[in-house]
Amino acid sequence: LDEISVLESVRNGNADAFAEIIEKYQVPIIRYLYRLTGEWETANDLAQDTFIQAYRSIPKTQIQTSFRSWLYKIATNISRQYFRKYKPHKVTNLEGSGIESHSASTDSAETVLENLMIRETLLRLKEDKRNCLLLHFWEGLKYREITEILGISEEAVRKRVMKSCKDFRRQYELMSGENR
Amino acid sequence: MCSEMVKMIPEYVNNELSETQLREFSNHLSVCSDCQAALEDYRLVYGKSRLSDEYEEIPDLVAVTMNRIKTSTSINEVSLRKKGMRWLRPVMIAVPVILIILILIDFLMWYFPGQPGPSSSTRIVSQPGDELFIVSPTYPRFNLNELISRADAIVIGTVTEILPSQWGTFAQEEIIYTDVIVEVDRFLYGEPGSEKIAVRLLGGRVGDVAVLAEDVPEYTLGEDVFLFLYKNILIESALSKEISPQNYYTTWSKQDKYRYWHGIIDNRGDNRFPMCTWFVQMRIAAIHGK
Repeated sequence: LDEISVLESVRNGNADAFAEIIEKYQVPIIRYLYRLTGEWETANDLAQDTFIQAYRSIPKTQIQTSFRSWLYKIATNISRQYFRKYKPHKVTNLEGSGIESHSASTDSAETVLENLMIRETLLRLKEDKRNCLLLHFWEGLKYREITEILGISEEAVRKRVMKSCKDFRRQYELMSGENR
Repeated sequence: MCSEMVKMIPEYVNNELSETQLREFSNHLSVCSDCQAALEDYRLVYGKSRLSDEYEEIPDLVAVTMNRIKTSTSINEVSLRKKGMRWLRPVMIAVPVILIILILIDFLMWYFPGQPGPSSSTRIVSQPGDELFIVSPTYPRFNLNELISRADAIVIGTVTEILPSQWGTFAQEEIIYTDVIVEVDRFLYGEPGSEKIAVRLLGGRVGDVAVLAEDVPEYTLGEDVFLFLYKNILIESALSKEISPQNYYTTWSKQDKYRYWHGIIDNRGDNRFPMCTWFVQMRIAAIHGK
């Protein structure tokens, strides 16, 4: 996908060209928002808002970093608005939280449980730390790119990532103890 | 030292360090327990992020999002509107604020007119050594319909000038009178003459002789007024300035003069008729057929 020409086309009023952008980025954006919010329905709604916001911002924005980072920045801001408006995620017991429904998949119950634990551990972290970890580890963004998204210095990103890793480990070990 | 090493952790985990950096990092790691712990934490999350996957089937958002985009405003319209809003926004805020301030000032000036000085009002203020005469002409009270029927003209205007009082003749008696010049905004009834009319009032001050005519309305310079006017036939004297004789009127009593403010007639005096000008205009049309 030639993003530059697609963006130019959108700037010239060709709304249909934007469909290609959605097509390309919808899965990573929905997954990112799901890991942030813990709810598929919310993630879908926020992803739609993200693309609409991006579409509307294209004519007035000079995208400095990569388009991908810019899209994550919008998704992050939209999720922040969501968290400001609604209560943060409630920690749930993993029992009955979906393992049964996935039992038909090719993955073993242990893998499913592991995934649920990872998801739950992330959701137990504070929003800013969760953001940081998701962007760096799950979305594979460099510190420099995260700097643009979160609006903090590279040094601050690095410190936050290291601190969040520590918190993740502590939470994960706690969860492992709970589910043993 | 540690902070420099910690920076290398992502590259170390991803095997992106140069040989020199790798040697330096490994040497430090073998002696620093903090960095060992940090590396372990980092590796754990790194490993979990590679394991993690979501099973839910991701819905296709293209159609629904494009539909939402198209049903809202088109991109060019959004762009233009945003550009327009940039200069329009402060104007949209400033205009109502300025209007509210102006209306408030106007209303306050209308509602609480300042204490008028001798040159800005027809009010007679008694001074030591004055020879003060009080005359009390009595006028019957009329209702709105009667006032409209009796008046020779009904106007809305602004008091632009209060001329010095003079001696004249009233009912074959020497009397002091005062001419007030009113710039007419609208003739609601009567033959529109010039834009300026003179309202001749009983009372005033000449030298140390002051005549206070009770029930004669007071006029203040600059005030907007609603007037029931009558042809001046009683006070005879020299005519003032450039006003032609047919544009001389009088208001006999307080029921003939009201303060006026943007379509509102201040009727807090004796006559309690509705405050709206349009209602008075309707009555005028009903009575005089205009």
